[in-house]
Amino acid sequence: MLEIKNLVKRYGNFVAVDHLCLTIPDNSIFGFVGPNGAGKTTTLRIMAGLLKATEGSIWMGDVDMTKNPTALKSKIGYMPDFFGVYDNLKVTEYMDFYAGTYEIPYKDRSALIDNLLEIVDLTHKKNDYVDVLSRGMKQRLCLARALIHDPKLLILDEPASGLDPRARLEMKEILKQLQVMGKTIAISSHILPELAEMCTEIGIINHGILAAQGTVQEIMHQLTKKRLIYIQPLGGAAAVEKAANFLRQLPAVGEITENTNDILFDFQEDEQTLAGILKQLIDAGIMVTSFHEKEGNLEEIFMQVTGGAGQ
Amino acid sequence: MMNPVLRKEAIVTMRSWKTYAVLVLFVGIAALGAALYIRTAMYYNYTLSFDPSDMIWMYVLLAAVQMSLIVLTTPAIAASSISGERERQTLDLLLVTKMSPLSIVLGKLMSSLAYILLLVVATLPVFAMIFYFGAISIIQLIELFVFVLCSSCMIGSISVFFSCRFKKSITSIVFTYLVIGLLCFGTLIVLMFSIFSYQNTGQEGVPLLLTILILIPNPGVAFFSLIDMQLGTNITSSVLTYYDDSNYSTLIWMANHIWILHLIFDAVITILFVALSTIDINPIHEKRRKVKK
Repeated sequence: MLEIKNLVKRYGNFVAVDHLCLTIPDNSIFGFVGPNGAGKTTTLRIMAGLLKATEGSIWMGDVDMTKNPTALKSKIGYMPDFFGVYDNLKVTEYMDFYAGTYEIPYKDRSALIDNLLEIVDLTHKKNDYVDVLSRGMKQRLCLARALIHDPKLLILDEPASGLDPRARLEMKEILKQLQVMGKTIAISSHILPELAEMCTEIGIINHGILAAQGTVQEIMHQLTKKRLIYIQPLGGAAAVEKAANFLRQLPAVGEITENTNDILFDFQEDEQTLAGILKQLIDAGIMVTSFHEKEGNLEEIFMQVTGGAGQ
Repeated sequence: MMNPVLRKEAIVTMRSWKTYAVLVLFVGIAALGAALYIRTAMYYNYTLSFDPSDMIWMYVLLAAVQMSLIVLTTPAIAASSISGERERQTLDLLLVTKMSPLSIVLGKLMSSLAYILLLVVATLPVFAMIFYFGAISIIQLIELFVFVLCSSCMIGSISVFFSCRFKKSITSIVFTYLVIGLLCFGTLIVLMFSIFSYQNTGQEGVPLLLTILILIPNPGVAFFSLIDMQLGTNITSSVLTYYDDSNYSTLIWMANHIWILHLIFDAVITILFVALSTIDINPIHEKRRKVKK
């Protein structure tokens, strides 16, 4: 478990991180989300040992990482938001170089590199020069590099930035695979829905302060009184009418908006009640093709928490 | 285990065409100097005769060419070592690894020196021409190479330091050349001023010890003193002891061996600047680097 206690980073009078406290459970994918300039990168850089905190500490187990940089380096793998590669170096040589920086014996390197390249799906590029790889491939290679010493914690600063949808999806799949392998992953993004899909927990950070922490649902509960639920009944306007009338009888359902083919309603209760509503609808003979929380809400929450900044 | 930075730099350097271009240029300049000298020695004298003992001057010429080329090349190679990583956005990736800042700095310095060593070794065949005439001994050649490499080490460490300090390679290169200029000409200017000031106060000349101390950092003077000693011409000590007839044998020895004192100076400066570079790139000592919020 990683615990950040009262972390402060000041640049002169500017406070980039302001008494940040948070806990990242083992084997979780923790998402840092916040607008540009919120303090995400600064926090991640302090975690990676690339910046000195003005105050506060970072604990991994019972070791204070801010006071023990050597222990920190062997336990974390870091991928910055912007990074470069060397010219005139092949993929395997690139990996071999970083294996050397972690003092991995020569004899173990070949198998290890093959294994990591397989995880990030770059085996077919192992003899290519790194500087000619596409951005998505470089990103994956950098991830493989961050994994070379088998770190417990992976710190990824905006790993999906600048990637096309397909590359994003691949990155997401790899991260899920790594979580299964037992890694704890701290990841940052300024796009909440992107993180919400893959993170087990998120922390919304703004002006260097942690505005909210928890699962996406918990944060929604924490921050909004209203949730917008979308239902699409089967059978067009008649079915919509029937479903709307049924929903009006339920005390948990708030204001209802009827459209031609779907219904939106406000909801403030817990997940149990929401599941119950779906069951009651089906029991009442209303066929439902779609029942979910309106995704746009995540954006609204984000804007609400961060005061409309960023994005 | 070999320093990973040195290993990687070796691969990258030997794959670049620039390395070979520099090699060709370097050996070309040395060979051209040698060829022109031999031609001049053979055909352009009064009696149209050739004296093999003149070949010693070809050694002097080649040594001077090599020394100046190395002094000029080292900053160009070493001053982009760390700032180049920063420009390429690979420095952070290196700093998060288990490599200590000291081994990163040493790896960079050693890879620059390895490059210089390659250039020096590549000129060996040109130097071999002198052996045909028997003008110098192999020991003298080794002395020269050690001297050149130590000077390169000193200049390299200063370059690496500036490379850590400044964001852009070009700034570090300029600063290193400024320091070299300061060492080569600044020391002479300081000496001139002290001669004037001593004369103005009615004294005969600058004390020998002070003169030696001012000249020790000067790679040019040290190089001259080495060649002077190898040729047995003793110009350095006669000039230095002109005003000072003190008979302290230590001082006389120092005047005769400025190049050895310069090697000690090189070692001290190298250690000092490697230490400063190590402190400078350690993220925990961050002071001036701008970091995104």
